[in-house]
Parts: sequence; C-alpha cells; structure tokens
Amino acid sequence: MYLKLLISGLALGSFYAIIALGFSMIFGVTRVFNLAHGELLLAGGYVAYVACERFGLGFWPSVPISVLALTLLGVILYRVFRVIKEPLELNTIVFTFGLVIALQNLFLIFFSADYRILTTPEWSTTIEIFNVSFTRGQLTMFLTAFISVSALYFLLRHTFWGKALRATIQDREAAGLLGIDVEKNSILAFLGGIALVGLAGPFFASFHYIHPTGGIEATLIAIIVTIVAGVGHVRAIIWAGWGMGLLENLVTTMLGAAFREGVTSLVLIAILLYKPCGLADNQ
Amino acid sequence: MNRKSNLRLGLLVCILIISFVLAGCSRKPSHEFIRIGEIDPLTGKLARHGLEIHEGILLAIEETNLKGGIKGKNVELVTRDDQSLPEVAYGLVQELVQKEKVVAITGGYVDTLVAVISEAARKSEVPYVAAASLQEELTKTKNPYFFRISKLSGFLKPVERFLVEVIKPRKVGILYASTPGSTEFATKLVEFLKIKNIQVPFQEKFRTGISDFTPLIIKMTRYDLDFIISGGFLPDHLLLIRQLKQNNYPLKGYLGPWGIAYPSFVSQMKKDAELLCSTCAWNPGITLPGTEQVSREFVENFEKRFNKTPSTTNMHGYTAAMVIIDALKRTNLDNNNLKNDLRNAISATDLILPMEHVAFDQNGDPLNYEHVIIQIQNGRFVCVYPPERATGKLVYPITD
Amino acid sequence: MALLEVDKITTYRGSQKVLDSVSFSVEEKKIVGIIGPNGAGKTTIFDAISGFFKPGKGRISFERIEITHFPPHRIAKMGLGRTFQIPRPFKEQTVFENVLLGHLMSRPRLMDPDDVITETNIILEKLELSSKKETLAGELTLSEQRRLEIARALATNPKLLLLDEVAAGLSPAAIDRLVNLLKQLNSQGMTIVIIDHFLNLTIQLASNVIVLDNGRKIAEGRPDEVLNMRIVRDAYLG
Repeated sequence: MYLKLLISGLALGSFYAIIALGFSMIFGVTRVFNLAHGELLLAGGYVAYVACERFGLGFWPSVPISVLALTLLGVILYRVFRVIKEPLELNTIVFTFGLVIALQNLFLIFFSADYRILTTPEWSTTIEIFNVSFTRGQLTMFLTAFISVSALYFLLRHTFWGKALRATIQDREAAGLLGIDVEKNSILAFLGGIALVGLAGPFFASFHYIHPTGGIEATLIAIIVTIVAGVGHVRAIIWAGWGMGLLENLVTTMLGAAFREGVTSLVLIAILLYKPCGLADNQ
Repeated sequence: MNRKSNLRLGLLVCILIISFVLAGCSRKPSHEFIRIGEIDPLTGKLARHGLEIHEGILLAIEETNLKGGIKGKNVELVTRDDQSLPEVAYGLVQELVQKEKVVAITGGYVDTLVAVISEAARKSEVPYVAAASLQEELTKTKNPYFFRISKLSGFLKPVERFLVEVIKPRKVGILYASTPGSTEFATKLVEFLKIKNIQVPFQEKFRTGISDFTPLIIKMTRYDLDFIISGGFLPDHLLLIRQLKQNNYPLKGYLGPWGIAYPSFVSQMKKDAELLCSTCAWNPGITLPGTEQVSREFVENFEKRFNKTPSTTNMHGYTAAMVIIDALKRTNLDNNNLKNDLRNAISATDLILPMEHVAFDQNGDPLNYEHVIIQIQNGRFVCVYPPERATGKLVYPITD
Repeated sequence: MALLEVDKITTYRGSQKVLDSVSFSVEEKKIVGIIGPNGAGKTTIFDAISGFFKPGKGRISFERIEITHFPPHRIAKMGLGRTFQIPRPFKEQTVFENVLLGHLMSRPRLMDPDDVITETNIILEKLELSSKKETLAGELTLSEQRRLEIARALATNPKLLLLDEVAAGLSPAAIDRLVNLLKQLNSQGMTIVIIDHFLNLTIQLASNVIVLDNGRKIAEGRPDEVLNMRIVRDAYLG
C-alpha cells in the first residue's frame, strides 16, 4: 500500500510541477506576477477540449495545438505587459486580476458554466515495471514533468542562450552591457513560459476538470510550488511538487482528507518563515 | 478580495445606473408590475448551479406573463448576484425590498447562502421561498417568512430505504464534502446504518474541489465495500469516478445524491458514468405521477427558451417561483400589507407541480419533497426505486 | 580623433536636473579621469553612455556614430565596456560563466568555442581569478568581485572601457597591480575612462581630468593643473 501511495504521490506532485513550471518561468524572467495563470491554463485546457471533443483528435495531438494557441496569445499579452509601469510586481497583479475576470467571462460565454473533462480512457491501463504497477496516466504525468523540467534545466544551465537568459534574469542592465539583447531574451522567455502553460492546460483538463471559475486552483498550486521551490529554481520545482504530492497523500491516508489543506498550509507557513526564498535557496 | 468586491461593486453600480436610465426612458411606471426578487450565486464558485436556478425562475415568470400575468399585472423579476458570498447576499435583501419594492424573494443555492437570506428576509418582513436548501436547523428557527421547497430528508429517507430494502450491504463506505448539507447527510446516514447493523468501516470528509482522491481510493481498497455513498458535488464525482477507474477499483455500487443526475455529467463522463446511482427529485423522464403533461410542457418550453435540456436544479428554481406566483394569484394585490398577505397565502399553498406536491408545514418545510433513486443506464436516467415509480431494473453489483 | 563625444547632455531625475549640459570628448588611446564630490553626476554619465536611459537633451557619439538612442546591447557590441561602482556580478553563475557570457554575446557567432574558452581563461588569469573559476560569483569577496567586473568588461573586447570606482576599498598593493594592468591595456590600444572620487588612479594614469560638481562640468585639463584649481578644491571641500 505504501508503494502505491508513493507512486500516486509522485504522480500528483508531477502534476503540480507541470502546472507551476510556466508560472515560475514567467515570474522569474519578466517579474510579471501572473494571477491569470490558472485562467490561461484553462484556456489551453479548453483549446484541447475543443480539439478532442469537436474535432475528434486524441490527447497528444491536442497538446501542440494548445501550446501554439497559448504562444500566440502570449505575443499579444507580452505587448500589453510591456506597457505596464513600475512597480511591476504590484501593477501586474492588478492587471492580471482584470485578465482573470475577462477570461472567466469569455469562458462562460463560449463554453457555459459546465464542468468539462478530457476523456483519456487509455490512461487507466496498468503497466508493470519491475513488479511495480503504474497506470499509464501516472506514468505519463511523471515522465512529462520529469522531461520538461530536465529539458528546461538543461536549456538554462548548459546552453549559451540559457546562460545569457539567466544573466538577464539576475541583472538586466549588466546583461545588456555584455551585449545580451535583453528585450529579445525576455520575450523568448515569456513565450517559453506561456508555451509551458499551454502544455499544462490539456493535462489539467484531463487529470482535473475545467470550468470557467476553476483557474484559481491552478494559480494557487503554481504560486505555492513556486514559493516552496524558490523563484528561478527550475529543478527545485519538481522536488517541491513531489514533496507536496507525497505530503498530501501521506496526510490524507494517515490523518484523513479533512487535514490535508491544514497540514499543507502549515508546512507552507513554516517554509515562508524559515526559508523565505524557497527551499532551494542556500542563503 | 477587497479589490475584487470593489470592482464588482463598481460594475454593479454602473449596470444599475444604466438600467435606471433605460427604465426611465422606455418602460411604464413600475407599479403596474408585481416585482419578485431573486438572489442567486451567478458568479463565484456556485455560479453553475446558481445560473440553473435562475433559468428555472426566469422561465416560470416568463410563462406567467405570456399567459397574461397575475390579475392583469405582469410580473417583473429583479435578479441579484450574491457572488456565492453570504456577506453579499445579506445586503441584497434589504436593497430588493426597500429600493426595488419586491413583494417576495426566491432563489438561493446552498444553505450558507439561504440561511443568510432567510434571516434578512425575516428582518425585512418579506416572504422568501428558497429554491435549494437542505439543513434541518434552518427551519427550526421558526422564521415565519421562510419557506423552502426542498429538505435534506427528501434525499436521506429514500437512500436509507433503498440501501436496506434493495442493496442489503454488509459494508458501506461514505465520503462526504465538508459543506453543512453533505456533512449532515453523512452523519444521519451513518447513525441510521448503525441502527440497522450495517458496518461503515470507511468514512472520509473532504473539501469539495479537491484535486486528488487517489490516497483515499488506496485506503478504500482495504475494506471490501459493498456500496459507496459520495456526498460530493458534480466536479468531485467527475474526479473520484475517473480515479476509481484509473486505479482499477473493484466498484460494486456508487450513489451520489448531488451532481450525478445531470445531462452534463453524463456527457462529460461518457461510459464512465454507466450504472452510477443518484437521487433525483425530477428529470425530463421522471416526474410525479399525474403531472406528465405539465412536465412535458415545461421541458418543451425550457428547450425552446434556453436551447438545452432542463435539469433538476432548473426545476427547483421553477418550482420555487411557481409557489410565489400561485400564492400571488390568491392574494389581494391592492392590499397595502401585501407582503404579509402573500406570506399567509404561501403558507397555505397546496399546489401539484412536476417535482412535488407543494405544501408547507408550520416551519416552512415542504411536506412532500421526496427523491427517487435513479441509475444511469446507457446514458439515460432510469428510475430504480421506489418500486411503484420504477421505470427499469437496478443493475447491482456493477462488477461481475 | 575623438572616440567618444558627449555633447551637452542634460538629464533629469523627476524634475531635478542631475546633469546640466555636460560636454566632453575622449581621444583615442587616452586615459581620462572623471572626478568630483558625491552626487556630482559621475555615474549618471556612464549610465547615459551605456544606454540605460536616454538623456533629456544632448547627443552621445561613439566612433562618430550617434548612440544616444541605442539599446545597451548594441552599444556594448560596438565596443563599449563598463563596470559598476557596486559590483553587479551574476551571482548565481560561476566566475567562468560570468566572463564567458561577455565573450559570447558581444561578438559575431562564428567564434570557435575552444577559442572562447581559451580567451576566457586568459582574462581570468590576467585578473588573478583563475583559482576561483568555478566559484559562484555571489560567493566572492568584494575585491574579487571588483576584479570580476573588470574581467567581464574586458571579455567584451571593448575599444572604450568605462571604469566606475574600481579602486575603491582596494589595498595599496592591489591598487598598484591594477594600475599596471590598466597601463598595459592602454598600451595595447584601449581607451579608458575612470570615475575616481578618491583620486587613487587619476594622478598616476590620466592624461586628462574632467571635474564635475552638482551636474556641471567645472574644470578640465591635466591632472596636476586641475587639482590645483581653486574651484576644484572648493568643490571637494564642500
């Protein structure tokens, strides 16, 4: 039973990590505190839903469509965000809050208030690896999170562009002095972050469910994972996700589902008190 | 949150101003209308069901006006959105009574909102007919202005009898949401099962909207449960059922009193919805004997008006509004104590509608609100209990 | 020939003038000092030249091309390097990466990666940072961070190097080494502008000194001449 719990905890944690990745990247690079993260994620989910249910595409073909749609949306959003004045963090909260309401109403108009869920029956099949049985869904979740985090980590740490981008994140002016095109890097990173939101959307619609006002949950998950991991710590996101998934599963099993939120928020408060810059921060 | 309500408030004020201006331009003076107020969660987390209630109410009012209104006067519906927030709901009652001069209030979804509206209604001395309310304590306050067309025992009693008479389980698992209605339902059911010597080895409370049931499912696997009762709402069922399937849980039987008997649930879950049970007060195919004609007309009108199949929640809204309209017909409209007369008329209601034969006890509780048990078979809702209303045979257990 | 020309630039912070119609030019292969009391606007001149903001009025030209409205990375690529008064290394990256970035981004993409690495190592050697190569820049001491600032600026292979208080807080021995390094760079053809509030380097290096006070240029000339002017002394004594 504990092995099963471990697996389901890791799968849940991977799901959290996928949701948080785009938020963390956008916040890290552009300092846009995107309250509308969940709604953008829903937008991706709805795109995938339409692709699957109306046009009969499967789950995987719907993923690149969602990514593409969100990236296009990202181009528009980036132009808007650039107009926003300092203090950036605060003003973007206000702006993205407006975006939340606008998107919610758009969803309501186009998709009604109904709950939608992407059907992926193939994910219920069980796979055995080394005598441990996973469902395909759990494995998919796990691999997607692992691969996307690893790829992003590699990109940021071990490519020249990634190094330049990290320099941009740390000090825009100093980066400019080295000949780094700060503006171009920012837009690429922002679009990359939005694309990751587009990746997460279909997963959210499939593992969770989507409805017009359901974005807030995804936003909360993303904020919490980002805080636990620390802003800008890509690899820590997956650890933070897994930690939260395992913790929630353990608490649910040991103490009962009613204690889940309580214990999670206690842990979060403890982290904020003792490690205000996130667990990955070594200061 | 403050900013949110400010923004909404601002928007509301704008809409109000615009509607006043428009009303001043084109409409007749409002004393030729009878005004009925509605408070529903049209935005926020309960928006989905709030909107459904609203549609039912709207249809009832429009139907009445189409038939010539009440004693020659048209009925005007004044709708307010409480944003799923009790503190907002409270203030709206006063506004509706004093500024909008409504004679009665309806709507309301979930007891936290209904309780607050009923208290405010008592203060403003305006009759309030709640569309969806469950908890027993709400009618224990002896509030003369509060009526409701639903109650918890309307769900609970049929489920109890169904379990004992039909399923005859040894072990039952109960999951319930941390809302007052769901908690009360679960607590009462557990008490009842104890008396009947049925074991309940698995009992878990969860927050509705939770994103993962897997640990609970893993835990559940330990007790060979004969039947699962889940007091969650539609999204919770979506997730729980899907995760039960994904974890290959050997499900024998499943009943959720809320959120399952909806076309949208079946359309989202597709095959996964098969053979799940729910309770149901009314559905296009399930109506009180003798009301088939009225029920059909309701379905037709609703489909024409909203371009979709009505749900039981729509019917709750419709029923609540019809109670007020029926009472208004029995009231002298020129009386200057109209609200009080109307209250007395509502109290004396004896009205047969598709969902229930509406009549109230002294506390405003409905006397005859009772659900039937349905099972989803081939995507359709089939009534399987009580036997006198059954339209099909129960399939149990699910797994062969 | 004047490599850098600053022509009557005026800048504002809010409604307050920070620089008031400041003009000067820097001849090729010279070392120029900019001195003046605190708040005179020295760093603001560097910020304007590096393209961090556009001056309210005036023009800045580099190699006879007007760069007043160019973004920082374009100016950097033209051959203008700069350090910060308070070092601003990329703290989460290693010393090597910090310098490497300067190499990579400021040049055409055709460079052989091996050459880049070799050159990076040479620069680290020059500034005595080789042993700290793999250390995260955030973990360096202040004087090491100052050297890293210079290393990073050198990595962009600048024609003109703007140094902002690089000698502040260094030991006399370290200042000597720095003077030697700057002399060597200068002899190889690099033009250097030094902001030097404490006059640690100016007297030994600069052929020309510009004195700022309260956003205005109050004097210009050879170091020994300028430092004896009454107006300069008054400004420094406040």
